[in-house]
Amino acid sequence: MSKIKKVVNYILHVRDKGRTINISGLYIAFALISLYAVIMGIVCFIKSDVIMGITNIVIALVMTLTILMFSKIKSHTVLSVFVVIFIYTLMVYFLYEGGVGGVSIMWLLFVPVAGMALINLYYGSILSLLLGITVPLYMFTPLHYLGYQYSEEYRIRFPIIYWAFFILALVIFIRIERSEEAQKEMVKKADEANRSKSEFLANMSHELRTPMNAIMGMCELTLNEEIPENVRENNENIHQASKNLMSIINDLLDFSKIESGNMELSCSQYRLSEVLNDVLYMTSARKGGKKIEYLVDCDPDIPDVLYGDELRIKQIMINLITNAIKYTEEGGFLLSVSHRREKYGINLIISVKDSGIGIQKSQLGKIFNAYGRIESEKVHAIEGTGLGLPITKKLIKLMDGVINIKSRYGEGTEFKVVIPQKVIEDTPIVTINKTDKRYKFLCCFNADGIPDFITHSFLNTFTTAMKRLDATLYNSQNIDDIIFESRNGRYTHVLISEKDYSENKTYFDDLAKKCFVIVMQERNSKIILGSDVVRLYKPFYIKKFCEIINRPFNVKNKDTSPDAFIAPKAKVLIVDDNIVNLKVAVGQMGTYRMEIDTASNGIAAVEMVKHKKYDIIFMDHLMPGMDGIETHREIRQIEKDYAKKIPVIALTARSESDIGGLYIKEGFQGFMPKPIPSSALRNTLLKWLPAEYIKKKENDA
Amino acid sequence: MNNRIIISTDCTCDLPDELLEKYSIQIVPFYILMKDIRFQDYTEVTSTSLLEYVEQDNEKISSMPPSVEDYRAHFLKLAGEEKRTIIHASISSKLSDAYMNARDAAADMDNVFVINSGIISHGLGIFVLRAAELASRNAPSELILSELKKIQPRISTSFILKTTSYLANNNRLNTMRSNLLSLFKIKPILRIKNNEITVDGAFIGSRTSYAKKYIRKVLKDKKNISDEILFIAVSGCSEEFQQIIIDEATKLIKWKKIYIHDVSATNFCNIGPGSIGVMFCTQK
Repeated sequence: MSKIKKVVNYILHVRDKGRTINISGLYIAFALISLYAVIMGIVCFIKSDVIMGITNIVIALVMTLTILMFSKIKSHTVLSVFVVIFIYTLMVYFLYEGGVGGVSIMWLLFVPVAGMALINLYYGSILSLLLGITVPLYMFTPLHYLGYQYSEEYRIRFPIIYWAFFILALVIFIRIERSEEAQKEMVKKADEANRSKSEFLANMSHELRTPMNAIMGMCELTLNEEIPENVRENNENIHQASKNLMSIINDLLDFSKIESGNMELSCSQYRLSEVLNDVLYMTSARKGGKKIEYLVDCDPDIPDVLYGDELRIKQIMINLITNAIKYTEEGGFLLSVSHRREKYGINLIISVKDSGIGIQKSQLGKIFNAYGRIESEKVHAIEGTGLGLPITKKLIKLMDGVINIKSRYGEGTEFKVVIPQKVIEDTPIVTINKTDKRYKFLCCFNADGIPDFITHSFLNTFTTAMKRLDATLYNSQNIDDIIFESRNGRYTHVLISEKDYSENKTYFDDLAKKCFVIVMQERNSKIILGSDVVRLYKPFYIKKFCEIINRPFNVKNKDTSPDAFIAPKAKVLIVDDNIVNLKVAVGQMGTYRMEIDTASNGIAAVEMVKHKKYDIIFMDHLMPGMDGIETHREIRQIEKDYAKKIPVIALTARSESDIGGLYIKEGFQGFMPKPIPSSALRNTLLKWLPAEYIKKKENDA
Repeated sequence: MNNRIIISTDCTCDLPDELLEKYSIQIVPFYILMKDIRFQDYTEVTSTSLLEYVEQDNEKISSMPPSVEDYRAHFLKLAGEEKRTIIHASISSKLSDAYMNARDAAADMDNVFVINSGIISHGLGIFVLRAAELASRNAPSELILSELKKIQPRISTSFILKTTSYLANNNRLNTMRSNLLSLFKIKPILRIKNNEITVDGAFIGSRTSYAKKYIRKVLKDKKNISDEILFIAVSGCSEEFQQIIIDEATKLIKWKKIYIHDVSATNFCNIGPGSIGVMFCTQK
C-alpha cells in the first residue's frame, strides 16, 4: 500500500510542481502508445477479454510512468494536455458506445466539474467545451448513425443539461479562481507592508537610541565629576529615568518587531558562563534598596560552549529576574540554571522562583498578554509597560522552547523556561582542580526571613562543590559559632556575609592571613575589606565560588572586582560623526586612562590609522559620506601590517540582533549598542587589548 | 533506616503536587515531542504550556514513554544502596509501552514490583493513592499488591473528548472515523477499564450541554459510587467551565473531596484540549 501511495504522491507532485518533459520523438511515441493502450484496454474489458484488457492497461501505465520519471524539459502543462486528450478520447468512446448500459452517458455531466477541479480551470474548460461541442454534433448529425442510437428525447435534453452543468461549473470555478487571486494579492500586500514596517522599525530604533545615548552618556560623565550633592541627586534621577525610558523603548521596538513577524534569531557560538556573568552583573543593581536575597543555583555539569542566540537568552533571563525583583518585597528569589541531555544537544532549563506576591489563578491567562495587565490591588502600584513577559514568551517560541508558570497568590511564582540548544564543546561550566589537600569549609549563612527554597539552594551550591572536592562543610546561622570553630585552625575556607565581617573586622582580617576568608558582598557595597580577604560579589554562582577554591593560597587576595583595571599604554581611536556621542564615548573610556583619539568621519579615521598604530578602534556605523563599514574596508586596505590586525568594534544605535550578523560578516571583531553598556565595554577591552597593557586599578584601601 | 515502601508511578497519573508531596509518590516523566524537540513531561512542560502551541500555532505534538534505561535509572536511584522496595504502577499497557519498558527494566530487580494498572489519568492516580496510603502505614508489599488487585476493577475512568483528531494524529483512531466524528460534531465517551478501551456513548450539542450530560451519565449509578473522592481531569478548560462541572457533579453526589486538575502533557497529546474526564471508585 505504501508503494502505491508513493506512486500516487509522485504523480500529484508532478501535477502541482511540474516536471521536465522531453519532447523527443521517443517520448511522444510513448505517450501515444499509452493512450491507445488505455482505450484498447477498456474496449477489451467491455468485450469481456479480461487478459488483453489488463495487458493493455499495464502497458499504458508503464509508458506513462516512463515519461514522468525520465523526461527532462520542465512543463507541467504537457501533463495537463496529455490528461485532457486522454479523458476526451475516453469520453468520446463512451459517447459512441452508449456508455455502460447506454444511460451511463449521464456520467458525462461530471466532466466539467471533475475537469476543472482535478486539472485546472483552463484545461478543464477546454475539455468540457470540446465535449460540449462533440455531444450535440453526435446527437444531431449523421455521426449518430455510426454508433449508439439514443432516444429522441435523450438527444434533445442531454446536450441542454450538459451545457447548463458546464456553465454552472464555469461560473463557480471562475469565482474560486478570482478569490484565490485576491488572496494572493492580499498576501503580497501584507508582505510589502511588513517590509515597510521593518524598515520603519529599524530607522526608529536608530532615531530613538541616538538621543538617548547622548542623555545617558552625559549623565554618566556628569556623575563621574566632583559635583554638589543636590546636583548629583538630580543627575542620578535623570540617569535612572533615562535608563527606564531606554528599557521601555527597547521593549516597544522588540514587541513591534515580534508582532510584525520580523523578529529573527541571530545564532552563534557562545559561552554560558559569560552569559550568566553578564546577567548577574546587570541585574544585581536592579534590586535597588529592596532587602531581598538574590541567589543563583547553577548545575556545574552544564556544557559551557553552546550554539544559540546569546543576546536573546540574556534578555529572557533579565526579563524574568526583573519581574521577580518587581513583584517581591520580602524574602528573595532564586535563578536556577540546569540542563538535560538530548540527541540534538541539551535542553537548557532556566527557572526563576520568587517569594513575591504571586498571581491569582484567574489572572494566569493574562500574564503573557501585552494588551491586558493583571488586575490586582497589589499590582497597581508597580510600574512597567507589561511587555517584558509577552516578549519573553515570543522569544522562547522562536527558539522552539516552552515556558511554564506555577504560582500561588500571596506566596510566590516560578517561571520555568526550557530552550533546546546545540552543544559545541562538552567542557562543563565548572571545573574544580584536583588536589591532595583536604579542604574544610566554615560557612555562616543567616537564613532569617529567607524562604526555604532559597536557603536550600544556597547550601546546595556549596554541598555540590564539597562533594567534588571531597571536602567537609560546617554551616551555622550564628557568627559566634563560626568564630569559635575557626579558632581551632582546622578550617581552610571561611565564608561569611559582609555584615558579619564588618562587625568582627579585626578578627577576620587576622584570620585571613592563615586561611581563606571569603566575604559575600553586594556590588554597591562601600565596605572596605582587608588586603588578605577575598571578595565574592553577590549574586554569585558555583563557578565564581570554584574560581576561589581553585586558587593557590598565595594568590587569594586577587581582587574579583570586574572594574579594577586601567590601560594607560593602550591607544584607542573612536570614530563618530555625532559630537555628543563622541564626547560620551570618550568620557566612558576615560575611566580606563587610555590614550584616546577621535575622528568625526571615515576619511579622517583612515588618515589617522595610516600614521599611528592603534590598539583598538571603535567605529560608528551610520556616518555621512563614508560609513563605518566602508571605513573599515579602507583601513584593512592600508599597507601596514598592524592595519590588517587592529580590532575594530562597530558602534550602532540599532538593535544588536538586527545588525550584529552584518558586522560579523563584514569582518568587524565585535559590535556594541549605543548607549555603550559599561559591562560590554569592559569585556571588550579585556578581550582585545594586549594583556600586558592591563593594569590593576589602585586598591580601594 | 526507613523501611517504608516507595510508591512510584508514571506522570500520566495526573495527581496534583499536594498529593504527590503528601505521600512522597515518585514520578517517572514521559517525553513530549514537538518540532523534533523532546521535552520531559511534568518537569519541563505541562498541558497548559502546550495549549497555545497546539491551538494557535497548530503544532503537532506526540508523546513517548520512558525507555527501559530511564526506568532502570529511576528504580536504581529510588532503591538506593539499601535496595528499598518499590511498587511502580504503570499506565494501561494498551495505551503505552511504558508498562513493558518498566517491567523489562525491573526484570532483574527483586525489590521492584511493576503493576499494569489498566487505566490512565486520575484513575491511575486513585490506584496509586491507595498504594501510597497503605505504604504510609508501613504495610508490607504483599498486602499493598493484594489491595491493588481488589481496587483495580472498582476504579471508573472515562473521558469525553471535544475532538478525536489528537487520537487520530497519534494513530489511536482511524483518521476517516475521526473526520466523520468531527464533521457531525459528535463527542465520544471513552471508558477505560481492565486494560480495555471502549466507546460508551456519545453526545452532541454545546459544550456546557454535553459536559453536563456526560457527568449525569457517568454518575448515574449513585448508590454504587463511593463518595470518598472524585477526580475531574480537564485539559485547557476555563475556570468558569470547571466550576460548571464541579457544580453538576456536586448536585448528584455529596463528595467528601473533589480534585479538579489539568491532565499531564502526555494525556493532553492524546485527548486534546477541551476534554473532560471523571474518575472515582465504585462500591463493588
